[in-house]
Amino acid sequence: MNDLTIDALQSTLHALMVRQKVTAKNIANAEVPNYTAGKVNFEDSLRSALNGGSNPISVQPTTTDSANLAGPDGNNVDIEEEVLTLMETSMRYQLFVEGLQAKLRDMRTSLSRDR
Amino acid sequence: MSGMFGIFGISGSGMKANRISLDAIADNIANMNVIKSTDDDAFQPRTAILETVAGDDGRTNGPGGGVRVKEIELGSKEGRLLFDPNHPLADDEGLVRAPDIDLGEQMTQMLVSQRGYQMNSTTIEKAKEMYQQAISILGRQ
Repeated sequence: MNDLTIDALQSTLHALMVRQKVTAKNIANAEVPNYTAGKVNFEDSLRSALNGGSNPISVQPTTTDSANLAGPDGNNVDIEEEVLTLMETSMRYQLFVEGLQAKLRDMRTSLSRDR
Repeated sequence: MSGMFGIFGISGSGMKANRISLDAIADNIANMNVIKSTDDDAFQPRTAILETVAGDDGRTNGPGGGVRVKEIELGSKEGRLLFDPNHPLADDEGLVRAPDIDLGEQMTQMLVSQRGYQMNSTTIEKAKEMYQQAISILGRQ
């Protein structure tokens, strides 16, 4: 039994966790010379998958180099941007967890009703 | 350290690197005024050199790995020569050796390391919230 909503939610949660890991990595390396910050993308691929009718569970988040300008030591981590991403990703994760819980509750309710 | 609780490993490594950097700075400040004779080497300032640790995927900026102190670099042995003829260690020309340490620079570095430590700590807090959220999917009815 395939549930598109649960698959999309699960895929998003996984991708948000990957984004948080990369944000943690950028913060930990904020002062390392010649370090290039990473950025995680998945929203576009997820949207294409959902619009195109393919299973969102197969969408993998991709990490690319940030295009920010580097400072004199070659490091291009923008700490304010990382902190905002940290906060936002944390809140979105919570939002999607609540979405998943609501979905699961609905399914349990339907199951008990059909008895 | 990747896997289920990977963020703790990443940010934990950041905090450790920040702490080692702070230790080096504290060492430098504590020894700023240590005077040696010109026959000896000066107290050499310590600098923690950081480098990225790549994750299992081999990427330096991917969702794994962390940061580490590559080495503690030792600074100048010559230090600064001071003219202090009344000092017990002064040589024939009245010179003594002081470390090549600039307090302003050390204080700046200290703020950088402190800020880094706080940021990594905040990241761990956020990660903990997320992991607790994930666990709660199982618990709630």
